[in-house]
Amino acid sequence: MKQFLSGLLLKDLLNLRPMTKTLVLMFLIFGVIFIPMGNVMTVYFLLMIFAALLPMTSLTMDDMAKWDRYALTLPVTRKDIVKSKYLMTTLFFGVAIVISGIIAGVSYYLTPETATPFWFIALVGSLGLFYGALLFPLLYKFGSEKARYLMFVLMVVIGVLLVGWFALFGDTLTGNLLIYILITAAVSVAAFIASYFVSVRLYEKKEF
Amino acid sequence: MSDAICVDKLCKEYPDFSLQNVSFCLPKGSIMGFIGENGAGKTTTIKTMLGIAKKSSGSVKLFGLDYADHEKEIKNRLGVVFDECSFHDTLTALDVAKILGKIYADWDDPLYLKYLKQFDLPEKKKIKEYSRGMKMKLGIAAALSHHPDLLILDEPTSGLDPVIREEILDIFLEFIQDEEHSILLSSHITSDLDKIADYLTFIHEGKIVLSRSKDEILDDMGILKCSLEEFDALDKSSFLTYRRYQFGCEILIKDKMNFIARHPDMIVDPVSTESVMVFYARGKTV
Repeated sequence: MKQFLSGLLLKDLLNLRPMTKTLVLMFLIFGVIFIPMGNVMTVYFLLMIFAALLPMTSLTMDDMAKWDRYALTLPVTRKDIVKSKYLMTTLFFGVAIVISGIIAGVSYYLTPETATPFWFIALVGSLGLFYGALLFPLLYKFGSEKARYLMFVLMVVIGVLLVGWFALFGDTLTGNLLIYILITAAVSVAAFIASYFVSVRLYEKKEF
Repeated sequence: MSDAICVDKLCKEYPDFSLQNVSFCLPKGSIMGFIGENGAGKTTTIKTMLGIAKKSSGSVKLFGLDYADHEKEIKNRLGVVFDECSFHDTLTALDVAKILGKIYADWDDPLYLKYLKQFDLPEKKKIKEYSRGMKMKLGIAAALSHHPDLLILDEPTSGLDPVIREEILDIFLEFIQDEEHSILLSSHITSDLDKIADYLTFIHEGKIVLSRSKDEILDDMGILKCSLEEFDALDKSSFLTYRRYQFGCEILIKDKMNFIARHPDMIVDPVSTESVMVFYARGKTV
């Protein structure tokens, strides 16, 4: 990774330190409650929501500190600034998926009969990424203040999509399930990449 | 002598405000005071120069290089401080060093720590606990620690007490000891500019009304006080702006010596940076 990108990323990680601590604590509490109940799915969802929430918070914090106008005087381009946000999101989803994977493994080992299948993580992760793909352009277009409300609308949209997913593919879940999961994941990743280019264009036009 | 900054016919349109053909050059090795009342266009000019806001037209050259074509190269030699602290409240001064150390090619950690010490800034305290003056000094320390050749400062001293203001001005004077270094400093605190500026550029309603060396301005210009009858009788070609009162007039004169030679009986007072600013902002042109 280029040096200055790691600088921008570090800025976000340092800023999100207090929030990350709170989220870890929340996660531990929920984990202790839900995992023994065999309700591992909720924990996956929670992790993905956290992963989507952190980048959004970092944008709000940047707005509050008037960081962007300063960042634009540093030897970085507008594209770099957007890129660092997408990298951060990828990083958080990576961590969320790894943690989910560990939980899935452990719960499968302890209670194989109630354990959720691994594919479910891929599905939840894809939806989270898809959410991020939709959210970032909105944040760049409308600013973090207004986009906050749109976030909830998006949550509902994703919920509907999830229900729709099961309605569409639910019957065939026993069949070539992997294909559907892969399609969903591929669409989400593609949407995320496309979203990056849209965000760069929106951010190029922004004035501070 | 080459120019650190050369802005040529810079324009920027907003629905309710516009910068119109802003042009000025800052010679290397000097400090330029960028003066104007609140809302005159100082911050807009700086933001448009630096591409933070998009210019409508015009050109900006820093160190003789076109800004748009050599962005990264220029930004590595540039330190910018805005009127408000740009660092997040949750960070500490040491966090700032970690971040900027990765971003700037020539970041100098020992130098930064030296500045923190010199400015009495606690390294591990969160920025939200800093006072306004401390935040400003932190911004300046950060702007100086990658060995920039040019500082651009937007009202760095506004809202600060006279002691801290002088402390900050001393930092600028120290920086300018190197002949390669230059400073553009926007302010409406004219006494600060009187102390350190070599050049003064006045902006009013989005237009540059005057850009010259401070000494020339103070030596050449004068303020004539006269009665309304005298005002009407005088040749107005040497007038820049005037202010009419109930019983008399005050006139900003372009060339004091020439005017006195022609009118030995009249009294022309010297100008100050402040009086010139107020004359341009509130006076009427002939």
